[in-house]
Amino acid sequence: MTQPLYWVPTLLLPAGQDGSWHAQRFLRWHGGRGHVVSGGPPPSGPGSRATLVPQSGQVWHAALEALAPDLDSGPVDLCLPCPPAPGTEIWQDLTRAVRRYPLRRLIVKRPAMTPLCQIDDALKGMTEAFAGAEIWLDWRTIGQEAIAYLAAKYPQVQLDNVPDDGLHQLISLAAALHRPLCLTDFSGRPPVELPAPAQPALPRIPVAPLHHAPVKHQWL
Amino acid sequence: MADGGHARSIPVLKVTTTRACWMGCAFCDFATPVPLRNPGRVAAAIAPHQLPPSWPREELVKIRGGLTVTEPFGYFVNLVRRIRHRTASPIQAFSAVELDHHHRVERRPVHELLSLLRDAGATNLGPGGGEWLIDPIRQQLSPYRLPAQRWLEIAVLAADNGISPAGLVGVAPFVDEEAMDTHLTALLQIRQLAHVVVKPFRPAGTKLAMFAAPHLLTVASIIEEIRRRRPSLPIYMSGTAIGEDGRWLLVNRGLTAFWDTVLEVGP
Repeated sequence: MTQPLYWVPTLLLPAGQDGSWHAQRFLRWHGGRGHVVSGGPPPSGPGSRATLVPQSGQVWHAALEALAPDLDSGPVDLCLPCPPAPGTEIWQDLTRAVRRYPLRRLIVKRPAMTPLCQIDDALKGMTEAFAGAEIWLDWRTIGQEAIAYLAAKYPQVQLDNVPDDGLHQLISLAAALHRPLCLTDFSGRPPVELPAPAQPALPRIPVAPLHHAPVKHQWL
Repeated sequence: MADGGHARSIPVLKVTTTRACWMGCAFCDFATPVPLRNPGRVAAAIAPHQLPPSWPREELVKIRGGLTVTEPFGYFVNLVRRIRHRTASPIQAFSAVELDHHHRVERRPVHELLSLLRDAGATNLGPGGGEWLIDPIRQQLSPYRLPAQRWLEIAVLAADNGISPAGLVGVAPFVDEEAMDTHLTALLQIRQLAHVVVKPFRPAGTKLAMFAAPHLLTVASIIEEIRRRRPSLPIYMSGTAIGEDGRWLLVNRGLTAFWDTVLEVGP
């Protein structure tokens, strides 16, 4: 079977807020599936969790620059700006992080003004150097057109941070790639396949008998 | 192919003759409908003085429009002549649909109309607005449009009369793979085709607004297919609403260049 494209509804809760109310409703709206990234203690309930600061027993949603060599951590979702090429400083930091931490996902973001060809080269390097690592592309920073190109070229990558109002674009992308679309999170529950929307029928255009074009004949 | 990550852009002067049209095609987001019975007052087509005294540098002039109900063909030949006096760029003027309309209304042979256009300075016959060369689709979406075979005949006649015809490949969700294959087979058999224009369907403002616009990757796969069938045929597409990433993608799949409108004039 073709590798599905996953839709992981994601809610970001900043630090200093009790996000339980938001998280409960967010997960209810998405059939109990969703991923909550919180600044403070993670709210309880269904779905999966990650935290913006390292907490015991939680997945740490960390930026590359936040990783310190002496920091102990559980699993990490590592966000990194698209590394330009092997051999650069970011690439070396990434290599060290991959060796040092139990990485669950590598989430690639696109810094402003980065050309698509550079991301393409970087992804090629990453898929070769970190074979087996789960690579996710940040939907909001990478952009629709680049996402389409990269998802077609690298079927092993997945898309992170797809907003609810981007769902119709995700459905359209999955259809163009001939891949099933599944709603899921990281709780371990099986993904739910989303059925493709029904195609509307072509309308009937009323036709009146027409013996000549409806023109004004003063110049004929 | 992509040059350092950038797609080639061709600056285009777009001249709209009229937005009035009586055909009422379901896919059209361009025309102002004219009733079939008693057309009544219809806005006049572009007047020669509406051409600006100067315009940005262009490499192509596109003359397109609806179907006039008031001006004769000679009016538009004169417009082409005036534009030719102002530029040395190729002029893509009208399409088989408009020629067939004027042929039916004025009862003049199509080759005569083509000769007038050529002598006035037109170099290309435009591809039209939604030319799927599949009669069942045409009858359903544009019942008053000329049949597919007639479109093909006019394109070949244009080539024989010194005006290179352009083809259109409309990418739309209601044209499935089989229909697209039929269309491409019919279109690409025209040996003298100057180029092909790929046009993603824009549902907003049409009678088909219930459909989604085609995905960029679907457009890319159609471009690849055209390129596979005719490796050296130029393939163009309007650059409107396509970002830098999309351009890079499409050019890497075989698109020759984007047409970017530098100025649009009309009535």
